[in-house]
Amino acid sequence: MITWIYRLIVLLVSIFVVVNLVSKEKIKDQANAVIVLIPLLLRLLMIK
Amino acid sequence: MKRKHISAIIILIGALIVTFYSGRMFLSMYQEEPIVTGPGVSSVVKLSTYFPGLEGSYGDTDVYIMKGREPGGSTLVLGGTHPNEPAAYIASVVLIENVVVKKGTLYVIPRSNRSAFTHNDPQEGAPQRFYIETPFGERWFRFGSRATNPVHQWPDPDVYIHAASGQQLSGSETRNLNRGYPGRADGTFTEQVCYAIRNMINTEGIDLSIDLHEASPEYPVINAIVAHERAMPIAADVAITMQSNEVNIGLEPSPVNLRGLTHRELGDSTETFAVLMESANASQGRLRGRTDEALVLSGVDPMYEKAADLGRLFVPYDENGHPLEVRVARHLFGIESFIISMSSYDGNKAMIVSEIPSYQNMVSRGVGAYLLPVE
Amino acid sequence: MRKLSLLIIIIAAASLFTIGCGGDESVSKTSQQESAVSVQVSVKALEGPIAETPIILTSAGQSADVKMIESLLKKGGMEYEINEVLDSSGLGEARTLVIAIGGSSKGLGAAGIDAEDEIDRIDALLKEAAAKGLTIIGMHIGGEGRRGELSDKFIKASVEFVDYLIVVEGGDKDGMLSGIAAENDIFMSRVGSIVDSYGALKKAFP
Repeated sequence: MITWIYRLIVLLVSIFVVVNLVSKEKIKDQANAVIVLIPLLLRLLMIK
Repeated sequence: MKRKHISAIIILIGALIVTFYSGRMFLSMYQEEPIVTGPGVSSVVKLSTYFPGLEGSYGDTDVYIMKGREPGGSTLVLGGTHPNEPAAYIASVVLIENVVVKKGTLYVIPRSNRSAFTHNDPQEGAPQRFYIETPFGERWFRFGSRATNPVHQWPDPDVYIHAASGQQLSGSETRNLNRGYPGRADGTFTEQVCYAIRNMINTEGIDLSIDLHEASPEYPVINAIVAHERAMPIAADVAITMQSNEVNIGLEPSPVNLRGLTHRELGDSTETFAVLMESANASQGRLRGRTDEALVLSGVDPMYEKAADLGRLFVPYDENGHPLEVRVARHLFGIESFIISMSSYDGNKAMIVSEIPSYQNMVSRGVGAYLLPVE
Repeated sequence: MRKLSLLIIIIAAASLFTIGCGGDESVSKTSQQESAVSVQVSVKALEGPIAETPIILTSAGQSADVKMIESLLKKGGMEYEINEVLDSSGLGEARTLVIAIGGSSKGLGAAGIDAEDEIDRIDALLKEAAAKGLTIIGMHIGGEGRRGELSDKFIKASVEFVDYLIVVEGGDKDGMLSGIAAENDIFMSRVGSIVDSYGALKKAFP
């Protein structure tokens, strides 16, 4: 159960990061956001 | 579509590609290297035989049983308690692929913490695999982590409290197999593996348990045997045998106040003679330089040579390093000496084991000479 | 002004770097020299028996070396008793005290005592043994691995009291043990390995 709650939280945070990424004007800021996103995706999929 | 949206889509696709390839790389650690069942292996069972709660999990691991024709004593060898200590793992594989037992029974668990083989420690720059040349081609082995994969057991508490004693350790130690003994059936994943191993020792009435390890060259307990007090007479005999054959090894008593380790808990909670052996492994040390497959295999490291010159190490260290074959040879020599010593200590626990590669042969011929071809 | 500050910072950094490098080099050379040179001090060799049984065996520093000595005594068929934490009241009928010298933090932990208490125990025990006229034989069999800050404390606390010192030579590379033996006119044998140490011990008995 706790794992599913955790994954839901990670999913929500990932969505926020994507929304933030899309809203950024500068490519540099978008790259910044995507660096945060990759480990979240790996965690969401319980790979690492 | 705005320019920023186009760039966002491109970057997101890039992120998915990176996630896919890195994910595939991480997941490749789940692929198990082949271990060939040698001529002496009579059966292979799962650890869950001794605790069904492990069935189907990454804690369930293979137990190789080598039963002699004649009844006698029994010995358990634990390899892969810490999969970033390769000589311990490889020594147990060499046993499985070579040893023939004539009297008594030898149990070998090469991947004691199977989950810890499925990842390696972040930010350590460690290789995922190392390769050993054999007369039949290359064999590959994983270089894993000291601890259970956090995918299989999480979250870590801030403080790990050892259940049987209340001893407090740092939170990540909760995933260290050698801090979880005697284990609990309703405990964490790691404690359940400990519990299964303890149950196995009790169920089979195993007389001697040898937990194989390696240590950083800057760690004081190195090239050493650590023995539970009941095992001390046997361990003293083994240390003398090894030293008289010019294999320098120390002997340390198992502290009563250091809980959760095999040499303490298995000795206290079962009838087994519990001992642990350490060799010198630069690839897990904190003072190491470049961490690659060569370091795992050769132990040659200029940083450790420098540390030795400064008097910071507990083992001699020169340009020859501490090669894997020497570390494996030490473990095998120790295991053979323990079996012989136990046999003379108590005739009811006598075992006759052959085909353990000798120290000299392992050092001169290398590990590859003692690995079988993979079908 | 800014240029001047920059210049000062650069000079300071450069001198720190030079000092750092120079320091490392000298430490490295010194320790290399130390490890390369094995100090030999001439000591008094044992010429005949000086001890008699029964033996009581104890430890100075709680290392498991005492267990290895016990194993040698047992194999050699010598009459002995062992008490790793023997105190001055426990000497009983023993005529010879054999003391295994070398510290182990794990061993001290196992015995539940700290280094200072261990030194106090050894001091009282050795003084009592000497007063009772026992022959005291010290054995340092752990080689280089039983040297260092912890073990040296026990060496200093015990060696000067012994009548005969047996040392596996790796433990005396710096000449510390033979130095104390020479200074205190103690018989000493340097042996190559732990197995040889039994022969040296046997020589002390008729």
